[in-house]
Amino acid sequence: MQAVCAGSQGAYAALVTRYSKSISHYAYRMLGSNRDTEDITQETFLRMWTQADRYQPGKAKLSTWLHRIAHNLCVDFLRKHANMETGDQVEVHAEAADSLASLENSEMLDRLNKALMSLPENQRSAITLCHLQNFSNQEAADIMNMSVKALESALSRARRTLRQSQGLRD
Amino acid sequence: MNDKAMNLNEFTELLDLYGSATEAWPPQRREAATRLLKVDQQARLLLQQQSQLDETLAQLPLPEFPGLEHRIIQQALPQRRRSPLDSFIEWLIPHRTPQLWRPVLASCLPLVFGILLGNYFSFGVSEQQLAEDYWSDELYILALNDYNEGL
Repeated sequence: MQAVCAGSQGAYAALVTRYSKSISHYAYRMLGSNRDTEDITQETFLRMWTQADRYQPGKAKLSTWLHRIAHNLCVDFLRKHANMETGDQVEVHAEAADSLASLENSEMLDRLNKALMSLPENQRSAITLCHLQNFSNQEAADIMNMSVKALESALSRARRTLRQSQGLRD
Repeated sequence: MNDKAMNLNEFTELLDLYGSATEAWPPQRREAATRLLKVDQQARLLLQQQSQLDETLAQLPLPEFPGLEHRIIQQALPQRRRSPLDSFIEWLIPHRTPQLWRPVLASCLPLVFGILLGNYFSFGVSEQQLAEDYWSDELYILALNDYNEGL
């Protein structure tokens, strides 16, 4: 990041290579749209470049800082487009079912994906960061700019809702 | 070590917060949860259901974004500019190598400035001028005396 602060495009490219997949996966879980995901991911790294001197190594890991930028962009986007239905754009790339089991699995995945996209943004973010992106509760709370207690509350509600969507006992 | 027994509600809360992966459970609660699992079938069922949910979540597909990394790297980046203050602070306390003489010099500057200032205004009066002032005061006082009294 020091090299990025000094204007090194090579350092910038190296960080993009290292983190673009993780950022795009997070953005996709939040937004559910390929095109929006690409825009947000691109904007995240542009901000990384322009705000590089704001990053404080002792305060947070770089991945945490980048995800925080992505999270803020996703939240802004979702609030701006609150009237649009996000669920319609969700694409589940299920392979063709060649057996009853895989058909059931495909339906289960589809149901779960829809339930995930229907969660409020803070719950969706919490479950994505903690369960899918493997951040600790503290790191996820830092990314979402909330207390650990608030994060855990969102996480609990998200898991409960998802369990119910699968017809599992609560 | 926490010997407090865990009930089903607390176990459900544990699953809600940390999922089914036991290595993610806080150490102080893991032992009580493990003991509960050994004796309570309902707890085992809850764990199984949470595990099933976690596995399904992990299977949720993610699309590929071909060319995205390349596009991000190739995007036009504005020239990085630093404010004069940022440049000064970076010179004073550089990130890379610890050059202590710079912050030490900067911290001594107010002291040096104070000494120079004090010297200029108060302590620059010469001894000769002090002596001259002293004798002119003495002569003035002597001039005021009435010498007829002593005679």
